[in-house]
Amino acid sequence: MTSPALEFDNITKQYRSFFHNESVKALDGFSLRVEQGEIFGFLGPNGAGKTTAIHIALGFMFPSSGRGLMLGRPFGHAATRRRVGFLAENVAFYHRPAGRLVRFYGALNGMHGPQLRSCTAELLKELELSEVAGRNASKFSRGMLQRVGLAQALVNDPELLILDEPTSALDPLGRITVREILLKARNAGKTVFLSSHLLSEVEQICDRMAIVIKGRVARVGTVSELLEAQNRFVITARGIDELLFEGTRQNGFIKITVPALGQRQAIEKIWLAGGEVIAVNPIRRTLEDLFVELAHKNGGPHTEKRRQ
Amino acid sequence: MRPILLLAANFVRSQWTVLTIMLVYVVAMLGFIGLHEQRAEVLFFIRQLSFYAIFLATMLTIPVIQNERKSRRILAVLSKGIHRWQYLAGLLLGALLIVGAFCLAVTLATWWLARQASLPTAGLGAYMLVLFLGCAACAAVSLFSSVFLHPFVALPAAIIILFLPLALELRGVYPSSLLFPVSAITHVASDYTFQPPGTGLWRIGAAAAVQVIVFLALAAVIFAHRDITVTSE
Repeated sequence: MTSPALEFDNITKQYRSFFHNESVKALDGFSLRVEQGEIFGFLGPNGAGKTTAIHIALGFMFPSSGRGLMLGRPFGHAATRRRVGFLAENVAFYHRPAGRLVRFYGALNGMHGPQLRSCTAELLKELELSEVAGRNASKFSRGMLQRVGLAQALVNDPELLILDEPTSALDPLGRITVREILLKARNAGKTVFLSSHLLSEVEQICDRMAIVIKGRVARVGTVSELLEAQNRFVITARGIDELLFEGTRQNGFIKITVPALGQRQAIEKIWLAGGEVIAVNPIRRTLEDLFVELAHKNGGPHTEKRRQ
Repeated sequence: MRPILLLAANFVRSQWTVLTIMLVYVVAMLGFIGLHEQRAEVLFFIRQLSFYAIFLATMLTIPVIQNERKSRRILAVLSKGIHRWQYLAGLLLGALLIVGAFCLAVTLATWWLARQASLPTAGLGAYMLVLFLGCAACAAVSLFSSVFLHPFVALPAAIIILFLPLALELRGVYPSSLLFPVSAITHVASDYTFQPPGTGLWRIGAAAAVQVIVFLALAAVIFAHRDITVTSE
């Protein structure tokens, strides 16, 4: 069994106010395992603790309790970060030309010489930044900055790519480009940890995902597992009287929604009525449905505050 | 060492306006004092700019961590394979490059003025070197304060650490200049007369160099155990 790319083990992160009379739990017994070579979607409402988890993994913060591993080494291990690419939410850079910025961050990761120059040029081209590589990044739009951010995250050809809202400011073409880059990275055996509010994007490219609510993992699994776990089925039939069945008629077919336990009974009823069963499909919720359901079930999105 | 140099060069680039303004000021003062070329004016020139160098070292380093954290630029830097102490050392070295350039400009300007006014210049280089070490100590203490305090609090904290003897002297207490080298250097600066340095000055310079190492090490230990971000959520 290979070691995970990222593993959070029962991590709690509690912020205290200056006078310690109020505390906020951003993460509360947070455990998660991200396997190598997968694109992992990391979802949750605002304030759920996603960014806190990412910052703890990268060593920007220390957990109040619990521990974790990144590429087999404890969180915060500097040498391990050389094998990781990170793009922060609300990315900010020094006021320097885009090309030099990417080279600067690559050099901080120990790259140099022709390898750094060629990797930078290649990435700038891929992210359609070649023409503006000489322009100061301080004059860039948010979308352009996000592209520069992706370039600096990818320049060291990382084994693990941690992206916090990487496409939030990109136009649709930019999103497609990023999607292609992420899929290419996955196909090359890299791991991508993708935090995003763009549910359609997560649904399209992620192998597995976790939904975080109030600092805990509320649900984790493959996209199909999570979306088909509703235990309701749609039976498509024809040749029956629609008045005998509660369903909707469409193009000569009747679609009947039944619970999993009533599936056999419904099929037999169709057959007895002389009908023909065309298909039985599990109901696939949208990710948005699941997200909203979990957020409501857990009493809203905000982090727990309590006075001590 | 390479990450430290990269970060230092980056710091200098981001602060080039400050350096330019200070250098323009030196040139402007040089032009003004150059019209008189008298001993009192030349001494005023070097004494005043000595205090500016100390002020510059403190002001460059006090807000730097807070600015990096607030702008979130620190995230992209510390997500790379560098240690936090390297980050601090890079910032300190960058500040010292700027202060060093300023000190060099002051040295050259003073040397030229002294030559014009027929003043001895034998001790000038040694004095400026010790002044630079004092500035380095200022920067290290300021950086140390700013890794765990807000700049508004870090500044008075750094001033207390650096200049406590000046307050104590008002009460007739004279702490060792080896413990408070920057305070001793300000005394030397305010009384500077182009005399060759004695061994006392070199000892103060060495004490300042030790203070740089001690406070950088302390800053690194504290910074290594602090959360550098509070999430935006």
